[in-house]
Amino acid sequence: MKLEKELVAASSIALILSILSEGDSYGYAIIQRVKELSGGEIEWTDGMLYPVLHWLEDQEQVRSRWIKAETGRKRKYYSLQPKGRQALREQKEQWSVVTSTLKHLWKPHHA
Amino acid sequence: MHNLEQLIVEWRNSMTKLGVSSKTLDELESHLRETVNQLVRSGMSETEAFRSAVTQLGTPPMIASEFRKLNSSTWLPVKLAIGLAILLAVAQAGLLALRFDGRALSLLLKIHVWTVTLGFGGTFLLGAIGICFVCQRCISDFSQPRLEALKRVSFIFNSLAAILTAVGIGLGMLWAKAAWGRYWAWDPKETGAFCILAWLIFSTVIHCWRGLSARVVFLLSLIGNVVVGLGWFGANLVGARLHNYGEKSLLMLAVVAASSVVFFLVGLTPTGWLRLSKN
Repeated sequence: MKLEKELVAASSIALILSILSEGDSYGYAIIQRVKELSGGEIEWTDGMLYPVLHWLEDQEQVRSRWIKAETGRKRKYYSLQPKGRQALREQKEQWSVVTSTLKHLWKPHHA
Repeated sequence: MHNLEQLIVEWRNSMTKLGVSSKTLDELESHLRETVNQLVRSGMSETEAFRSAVTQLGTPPMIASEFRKLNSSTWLPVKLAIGLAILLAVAQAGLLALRFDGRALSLLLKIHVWTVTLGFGGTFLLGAIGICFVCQRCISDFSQPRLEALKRVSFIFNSLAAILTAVGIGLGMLWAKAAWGRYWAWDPKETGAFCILAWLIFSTVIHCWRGLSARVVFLLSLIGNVVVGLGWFGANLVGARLHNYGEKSLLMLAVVAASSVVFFLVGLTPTGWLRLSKN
C-alpha cells in the first residue's frame, strides 16, 4: 500500500526516531526495517528518507558519521541524540492519542 | 561492473546539476549500491537493478526539491555579521554623503572609500564569524548541513569582499590619476590594498576545492584578519605619505593580529575538548 504523501511526511519522523532508539543505523537499513515491520505495507520512495534524516541532524536530534564496513563499503550511520530522545517522547504521546482515538471510533459496533 | 560505475557517474552528474551537494550524493550513492546489490542477488542484471534502484529512490528533480526545502536555520553569529555588514554599509554611506561637496571627483573618492571600507570590513566580519566558529567547536560539533551552510557563507563573504575591494581599488586608481597624476605608485596603503585583494582572491578561489572543510575555511578567515589588519592599519604605521588619515595605532593592529593568532591556535584543538562530560 502506498501511503499518502502527507501521511508519510507526518509519520516518518516518529518511525526514524523509533528505529534509531533501537540502535545506530543507516538509511538503507532504516527503510528495510520499516518495510519489514509493516509487512511491506509502508512503501517509501527511498529518496524521501534522506532529507528527513538531514533535517533531524540539523535539529541536533541525530548525529551522523561515516563508517567503513569490512567489505570496504562506506555507510553513513545515524545515532539518536538527547534532543532526539526528547522529540521521540513527544511523538509517542501524540501518536498514542491519535491512534487510540481512531481505535475507539473504528470499533466494530460503530461500523 | 564497469557499466554500473558509468551509470552511477551519469546519475551523480544529473543530480549535481540540480544543486545536490557531493556529500549528500555520497550518501545516496551508498544507498543505490545497497539496493543494486540486493536486486542483483535476487537475479536481476546490473543495469536492470540500477534502473529499478533509481526508480525506487525517486526522480532527481523530486529529490533535489526535497533537499532544497531543508532551509536550515541560520547560525546566530552569521545573522549578526550580516546585520553589522548592512549597518556598516548604511552608516558609512550616510557619513560620506554628509561630506559630499557635489563635485564628480569627490563622488568618485567617496565611492572608493565606501567600497574599500566594506570590502575590508567584510573580511573582518568573516574573521569574527571564524572566531565564533572555533570557540563553539571547542564545546560542541556542528551538524553536517550547518557546516555546508557555513562554507557557503564564507564563500559569499569572501567573494563579495573581493569584488568590493577590486572595485574600490579601481575607483581609487582613477581618482589618483586625476588628483595625484598617477594611477598607482606602490604607496604603503596601495601595497596593503593590493596584498588584501590578492588574499581575498586566493581565499575565494580556494572554496572551489572539493575536499575543503569548514574548519579550514574559518582558519583561513583568521589569517584574513591579520592580512587586512596589516594592509589597513599597518600601512598607516609605516608612514603613508599620501592616504594620510586613519588611526596610527599600533595597539589596534596588535590586538587584531594577536587575537587572530590566539583563535587560530584554538581552532587547531580537537572538536569538543572543552565539552563537560555528560556521564
